[in-house]
Amino acid sequence: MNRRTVQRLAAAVGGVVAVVLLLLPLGPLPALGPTFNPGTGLFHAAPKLPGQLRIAGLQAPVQVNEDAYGVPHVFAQNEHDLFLAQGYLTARNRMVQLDLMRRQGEGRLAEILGEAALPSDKLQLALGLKRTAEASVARLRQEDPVGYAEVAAYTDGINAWRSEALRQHLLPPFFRLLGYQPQPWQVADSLVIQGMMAEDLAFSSGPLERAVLENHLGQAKRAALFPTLPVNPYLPYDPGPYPFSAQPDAAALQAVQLDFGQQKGPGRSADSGAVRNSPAAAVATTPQAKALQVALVDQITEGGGLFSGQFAQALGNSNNWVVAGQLTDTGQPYLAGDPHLTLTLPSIWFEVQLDAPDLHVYGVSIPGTPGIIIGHNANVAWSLTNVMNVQACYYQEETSAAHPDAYLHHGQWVAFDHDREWIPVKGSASVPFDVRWSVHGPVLPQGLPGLPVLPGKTLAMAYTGNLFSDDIGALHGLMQAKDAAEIRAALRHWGSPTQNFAYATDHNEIGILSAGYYPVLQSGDPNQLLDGRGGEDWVGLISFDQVPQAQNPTGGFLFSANQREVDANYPYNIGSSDNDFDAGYRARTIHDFLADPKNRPLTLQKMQALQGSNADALAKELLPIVRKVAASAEATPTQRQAGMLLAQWDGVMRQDQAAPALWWRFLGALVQETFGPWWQQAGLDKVKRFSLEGEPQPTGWRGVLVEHLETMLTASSDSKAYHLAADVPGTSLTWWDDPRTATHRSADQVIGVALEDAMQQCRKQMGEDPAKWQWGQIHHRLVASLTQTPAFDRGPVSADGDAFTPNAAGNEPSTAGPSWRMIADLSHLDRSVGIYPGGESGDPASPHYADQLPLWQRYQYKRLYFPARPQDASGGWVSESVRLLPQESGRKGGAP
Amino acid sequence: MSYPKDGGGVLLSFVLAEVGLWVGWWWLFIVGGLASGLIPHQRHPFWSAFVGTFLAWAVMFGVRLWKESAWGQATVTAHLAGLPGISGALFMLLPTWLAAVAAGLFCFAVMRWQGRKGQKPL
Repeated sequence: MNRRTVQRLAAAVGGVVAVVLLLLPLGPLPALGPTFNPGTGLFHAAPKLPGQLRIAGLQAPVQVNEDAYGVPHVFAQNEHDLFLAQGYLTARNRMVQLDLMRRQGEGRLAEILGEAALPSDKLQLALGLKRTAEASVARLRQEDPVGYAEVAAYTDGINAWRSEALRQHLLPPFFRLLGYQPQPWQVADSLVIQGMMAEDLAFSSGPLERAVLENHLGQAKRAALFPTLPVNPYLPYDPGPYPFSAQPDAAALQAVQLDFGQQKGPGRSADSGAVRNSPAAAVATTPQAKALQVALVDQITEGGGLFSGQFAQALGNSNNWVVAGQLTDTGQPYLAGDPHLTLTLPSIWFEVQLDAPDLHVYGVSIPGTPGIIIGHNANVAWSLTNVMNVQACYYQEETSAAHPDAYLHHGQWVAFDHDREWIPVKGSASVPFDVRWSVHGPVLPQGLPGLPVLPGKTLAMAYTGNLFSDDIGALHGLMQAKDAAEIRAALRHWGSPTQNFAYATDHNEIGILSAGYYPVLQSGDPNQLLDGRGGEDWVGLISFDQVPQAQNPTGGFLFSANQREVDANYPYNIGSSDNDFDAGYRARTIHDFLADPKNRPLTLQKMQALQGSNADALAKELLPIVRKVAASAEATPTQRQAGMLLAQWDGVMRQDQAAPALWWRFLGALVQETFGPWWQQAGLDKVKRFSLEGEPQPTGWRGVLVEHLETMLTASSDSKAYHLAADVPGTSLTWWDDPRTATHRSADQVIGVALEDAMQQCRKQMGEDPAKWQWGQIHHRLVASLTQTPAFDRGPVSADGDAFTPNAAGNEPSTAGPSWRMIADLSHLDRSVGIYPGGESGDPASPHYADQLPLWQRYQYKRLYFPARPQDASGGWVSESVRLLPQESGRKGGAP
Repeated sequence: MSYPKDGGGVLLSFVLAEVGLWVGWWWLFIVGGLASGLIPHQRHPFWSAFVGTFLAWAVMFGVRLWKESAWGQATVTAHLAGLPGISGALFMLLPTWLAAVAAGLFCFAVMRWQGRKGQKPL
């Protein structure tokens, strides 16, 4: 072989090697050539909207004006185009979020993330979101064609962007790195997103947790510590009277039941399962970014999923209130709302103005669902908080070896229905997953993430999230409502999750209506495990006219902050104080502010101040008691030092002060010192989920232990309330006492020990010099990226507030809180203000990724411009304008 | 590279690679490399195709950087992959360099295959 031959062969081989290097994945990266070439690679961001854009499916031109924060103000000539444009703009900004949310809800995360995501997929498939969504599509089309058309148009909009992104290589890098393309959006996908929100807000594992507690503590102690009604005073917004007796509405329940468990109907058809999750449906993927996969999987397996840190209404705190014109500076109502959810980037909200001939609204939408959830139209405003009633019941099915695969119901052995799903798994074969269904609902396999384990029991779950719920129709009605009567009419359609709709109108009407499904049992306590043999089945729902509600109260204001909506005389059992209703301290702060004559007239600025309030009502109440102990003759020097630190404090959880840090550590230590010995005696300290170790103890079980402490410290020791809160059933002890030695302890003794402990913790965490202590040193906010990529997080940063302040900031770091703050001024809705801790774009490289966050952190707001016409741009608020045009026949969408 | 025939090689590989990138055929640089090897009397066949291809990709990256904030997407990609943001630059440079090297080697191989002289490849 001569030299020339060697050279040409070497060159050819070298060229081939270079090309092969371009075609092969490199470490954590996908193939360099297809992925990183400047032509079709991932370097395209969605460009700024051009002046004109053609979109498939539009019937007429649509005008979109973007403000400085990239919030689109959409003006369409008909509702079809309006919702199509909304879907298009949402997808353009949030495609990754849309796909992740539907994947989680449909149990298809393992398809892109591999085996580690299987537990999450199994949980969702067991709960039945996908089946419910698919079954609901047919019902929606039949019963609410307008709502169906709305979702269908929105779906078309998402798919218009998807097509454009595929054609122009505009998919975000996320998809390229994981090596897949999002499949076309379907109407059912939007209903899955709706189901995800319901799961976040309505699904509860409370009865399972109570069962575990009861196994350790015994029935009497469990019932005493975790009663149905709160032991502390609380402020129901609907205190009655209730001129009706409990009369379940059987027809209402029957009307919304989906056809599960009958081997027929849309939710059970073999087709619906096979098409979407058959073994053959697994996408072909390549080895991709391991780091990204690992981060995502960690989040899924550690928490309830990508979008909620926990299940069971654990994060569904929110505030809303309405004040009538008689109390305000304008003579017209204000409505304030701040839903507290997990704070993520991108946010759960997409802010938008929607305008069509019969629809004019501004507010926030959930990506994946059309319309707005919270906001206002030209006449009314509304905001939501979570009702927290029991919406998931657990039935213990009786089974027998003599009757395999059957359960006893009304004296008959009934065969379980079986539903087999195939879960596509990246890098391996699809995994079959069988869910058995009883008449009550899906039988939950043991060991699902986030759910307590109760070995040996066959537990079926009846869950309102598996009922048909025309929330789309309800919101459409709300968006068009002109007065309170129309609001109420719209809310008749609302089902799951139950929500406290606070509303105000420009007719000076205010109200709250807790709309949604409240299951009523034939007998039994929905807070406990129920007997599956038939005697404790759901027999109806609370009728719409009997759900908690109030309108135009004489006091001139109404408020909800997840406190129990009704008092002890309400004839229905709607849930338990633990794990469901809030301890009520935010409600107390809000009530006290609105009721205080010194705060009149109420102004927009005062509403803002209240939303940003870091006043801890519990601290304010207990501080005098704690100070007294610290100043007593028996106090140790350390306790006296603690007392001095707390002496001048006003109970406001400011980040730059030492006292809030000491207070929160003290409260944790007080819970630990009081109940820790009981937990230890019962062996609960060995159960991971129920340990009192760690940070969250003051807020555990929605603060029910703190409610006990509050009453034990403030109620007269000879009062019934005190004994209800303090006495340990079956003993002569109170919870203050140490059961291990049967030693009596006084409240002062326990407080003293807790103060010592708190001081020690503070020294350990912040140094020996209390003058240098600050709450913000040990308390932070973190707004994390959905992709779990630290570089895309914002924070942790020092933060005000705690779990009991209106500016909710529980846990450390605090990853949940006011996800949207809005104050609607009904005297002039164009003066309404709002803010959310994020931005419109899901692209970390976009200037609108988190551009609202700094304002939110400083408790500032932006004006919510609400022009009646697209030409109204006075004030120079329009940053960009684009005209969306129908696609010409024979042309594909895109810039003309 | 001052040799006029080398300019033809640069131009041809540049045009084919650039056109490929515009129409979505990113691999067209291979054809560019091979085709530029057919241009006779090049003194630096490797470098002509290398430079042409490199420039074509660089120009396209320039467009992306200028019009579509490609740097943002590069850093986003790096972070998603668990790499420092600055490594986004590698996502541009490495494929560009590999494509240019491949084009240059193909060009050189074709020229040698045809029995024409050129300088050593590197």
